[in-house]
Amino acid sequence: MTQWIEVNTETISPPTESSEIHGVEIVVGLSPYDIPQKVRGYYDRHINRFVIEFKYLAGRERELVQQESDHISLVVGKESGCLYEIRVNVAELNADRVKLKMLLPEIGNAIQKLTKSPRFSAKKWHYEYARDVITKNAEQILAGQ
Amino acid sequence: MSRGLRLALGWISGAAETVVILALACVAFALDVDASDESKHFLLEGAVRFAQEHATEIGVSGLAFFAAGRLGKWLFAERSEDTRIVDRLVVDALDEFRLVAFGRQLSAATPPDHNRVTYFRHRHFVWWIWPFRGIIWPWGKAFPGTGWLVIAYRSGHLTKRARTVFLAPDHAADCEGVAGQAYRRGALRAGKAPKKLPDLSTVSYTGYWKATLLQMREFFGSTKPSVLNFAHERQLVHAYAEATYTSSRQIWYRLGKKRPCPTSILGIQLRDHHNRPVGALVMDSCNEHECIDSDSTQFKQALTKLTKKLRRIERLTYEGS
Repeated sequence: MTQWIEVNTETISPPTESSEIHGVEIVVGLSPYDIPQKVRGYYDRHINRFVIEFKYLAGRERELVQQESDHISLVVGKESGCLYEIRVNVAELNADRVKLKMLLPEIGNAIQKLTKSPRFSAKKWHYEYARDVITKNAEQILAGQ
Repeated sequence: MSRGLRLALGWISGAAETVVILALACVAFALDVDASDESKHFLLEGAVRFAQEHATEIGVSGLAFFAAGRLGKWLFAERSEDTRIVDRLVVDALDEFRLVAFGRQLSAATPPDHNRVTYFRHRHFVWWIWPFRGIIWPWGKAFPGTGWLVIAYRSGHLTKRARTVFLAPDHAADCEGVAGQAYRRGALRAGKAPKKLPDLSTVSYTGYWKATLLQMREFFGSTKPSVLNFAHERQLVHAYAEATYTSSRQIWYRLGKKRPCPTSILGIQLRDHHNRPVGALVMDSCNEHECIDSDSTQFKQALTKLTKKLRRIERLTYEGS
């Protein structure tokens, strides 16, 4: 398996919403438990999938697998809705690294779809941030194929 | 109250509860006995007939005694040695977290109350709150089972005497305080340099009647310094209350108790080992050392450590009980 890639919150800043109440700055942001600390990409021979995995500060919980398209499935936390894994069926696609890069928009769409499900709609910021992390670290993540 | 008296009262309350349960069981048994034939005589005849005739009164007073016994047991309960150890471990973990959260720039002379870390735990039911939020109904516009955040632990404190509670229902807009908002929304900061919360250290508490009088004078156009000063203070308290998602009444209560009002507050959601929200962690500051950003590496490392410790303590507590 490949090395974890540190997510730098200074270069990829988590989404926040700032407002002012009577001149006092109010900042609402993501829970630190929802900000991925590390990310990596690797080919899992057991399930025959290319996996993009996120690591959070509180570890993993009970999970459920959401099949978002024919060859992309997402592993999310049952309680928190945190995105833990994105599994791409590269064998079926016969995809190499270049093709995987072309799949990035599709991966983004699959994550976007999650925000439309009533169960996970409240986690919109979290999924958008996870998508940003993948986009900005794409080269390093895909090197793990 | 001495420890001996406390133990005795706790024991009496527990005994009263047991006696009531036994008495109610006897009454239930007596009601089942056929005593319609007056010519028949049986064991404890008088007691059975008395129980049958006064079953309602015995039942109602029994329940009242039971409730009183429960209340007594709760009031006079003594923390066990295990609980003391758990409390010490959690407070130590919070103290350690405090040093990182406030940037390791606190001197030994900084009062603990000026830079605090408070662990609020979510409770579905809160049966007692003080001060009351309404004249008749203590919970104001809410119910005991609406969902509340209560102080579980605070850095530097072991007494657990703080009574602050915040409303934390499912609807985020109704959540009170920075703690309530953080619990539902993830993370919230109220006041960050240079746009901090109003400094209320110079505001002096004004009682209800005096406040009403000053407001009336203000209404009739008085320009006396005391009236203008109170109007200004009232505005500051109102601004503070709105920015911290509380009511002006709660802020005046704090001022009346001479408790410091922080100028910067950061709240984050806390989660258990299933990743479910269990409460909120609130870092407040009354001086220039405000809490570092919650998405900074230092903060996340410290939070990881604290979360692991809290979960380990929680697991030990469950296994031990």
